[in-house]
Amino acid sequence: MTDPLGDALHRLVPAVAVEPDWADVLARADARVPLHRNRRVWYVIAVAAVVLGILVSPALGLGDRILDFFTGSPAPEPVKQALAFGTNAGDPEIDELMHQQVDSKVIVGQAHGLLAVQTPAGLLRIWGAPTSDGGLCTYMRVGGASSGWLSCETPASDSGPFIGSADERNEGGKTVRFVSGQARDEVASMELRLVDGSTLPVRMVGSFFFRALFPGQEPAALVGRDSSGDVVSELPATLGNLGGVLPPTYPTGPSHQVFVLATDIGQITMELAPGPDRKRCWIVTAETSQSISCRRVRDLEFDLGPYYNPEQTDRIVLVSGLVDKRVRSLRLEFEDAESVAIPIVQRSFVYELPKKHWKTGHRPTRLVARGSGGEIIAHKRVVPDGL
Amino acid sequence: MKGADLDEIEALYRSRFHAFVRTAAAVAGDDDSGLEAVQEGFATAVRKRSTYRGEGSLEAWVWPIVLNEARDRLRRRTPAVPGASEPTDERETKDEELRLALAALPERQRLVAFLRYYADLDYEGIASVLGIAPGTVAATLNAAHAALREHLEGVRS
Repeated sequence: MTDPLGDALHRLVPAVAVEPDWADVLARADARVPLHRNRRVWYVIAVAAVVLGILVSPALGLGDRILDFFTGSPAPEPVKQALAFGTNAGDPEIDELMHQQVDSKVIVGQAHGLLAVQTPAGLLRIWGAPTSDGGLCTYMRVGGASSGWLSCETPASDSGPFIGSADERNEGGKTVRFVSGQARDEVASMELRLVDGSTLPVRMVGSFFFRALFPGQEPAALVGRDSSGDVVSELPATLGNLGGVLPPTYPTGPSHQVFVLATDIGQITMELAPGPDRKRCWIVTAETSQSISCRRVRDLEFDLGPYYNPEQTDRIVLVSGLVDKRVRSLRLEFEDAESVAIPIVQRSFVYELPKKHWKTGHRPTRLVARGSGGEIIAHKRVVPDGL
Repeated sequence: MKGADLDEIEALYRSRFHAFVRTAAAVAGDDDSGLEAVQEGFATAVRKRSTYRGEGSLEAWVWPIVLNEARDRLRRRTPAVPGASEPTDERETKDEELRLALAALPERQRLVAFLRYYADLDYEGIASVLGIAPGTVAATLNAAHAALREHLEGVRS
């Protein structure tokens, strides 16, 4: 430290001589973690190392090679425990608002191996267990990692022949990229179209499908075909397009504050900042959490999601986003035919959704953006994919 | 939403424990409060790890939790009685002047200085923690330097 301020600060508060006490942290946390059951959301779950009766040849190499003998094998106890976590109901009010209320239970007794796939990050094992509402919880773990990822999905009745997404997970500095999801019976085969126009087959095990991605393989679309080979549905498959983890995008320039809200969980601020590739960013900051979204705004972009107080005893739900310069007014419509005008400031908006509009029959349905003459510039459904 | 891994939180806690405690102590006003803030802050992070969105580093997500705990403890502190502990030598006098100067800084300037010097975060790291641009961090730190210089020169003149 060479500058006077640094020297003085170091003198004022000398280094402390206490030692870390992680057990005390865990005791204070009292470890039950509320989680939200969503249509498509990943949880990271640490379980004890699993010993499987599977010997993997080091000569497998990288080739999205499927180890078929893994399929159908009963899941070991720690994996069952991890899958059982998917039953956690989380926050019923938020689930209801997000159209995610699920009464189902994970049928842990039926947990079994789905796939074992060699990926650039190591051998990825995927176990699955059905849920009582016809969905599927999967648990993935790569190599000898001590933690894995839980995902529970229940396809909505209007979700089409399949639901799926591309995802990216990091493990020990290595990245696992893949597409996965669930298909209905009418889908006999799946394929992945890459941005270069080539296609890759996607492995299906029952309703579950999966394909690992390798460097240079950029997904463009998931295609489902029926038994005759006809395309029954096609979904864009850019990373994170249906939930999961979005590739991080950060502001590229200074931010400035546009909104300050006083809420039940404390002060919320919203800042605007430029982003990469002609994107614009909005940053919503609560006391202990922050959401950064950077999008290219053609007409209307928005997020809807909960923000919690530090103790997680209370939460609010915000609708926030950006509009383009043609948009002069914005209205949020609800299931009960009510609607509310949302003020636009500097082509941005943030609105705290009243709790009465979290309930079935009163939830938000769509955002309508209008131009100076009252013409509709854009209208978008407000049906979130997840938190 | 990504959710944070308990192992990752523990690794962060162990690797950055002293930086967290020192910074929290600076914010809260004493070492014990700083340590409490870190323990409680990490406990909160463990409890709400499912809400970590993975849009920034885990450390940038945890810092505000710990800093809020530290600020709460500062608010709960009994104000010191002026003159109760008079400085006894020139060094202590200078330190007391610096404490007063720091206390007079706007909160953001104080936090930026603490995160820079106690937490050893670079401008990008501080920007992530406070949700501001790196350029704003630099400007804020410069302002803190200038304000402290001015304050201390004013005290001595």
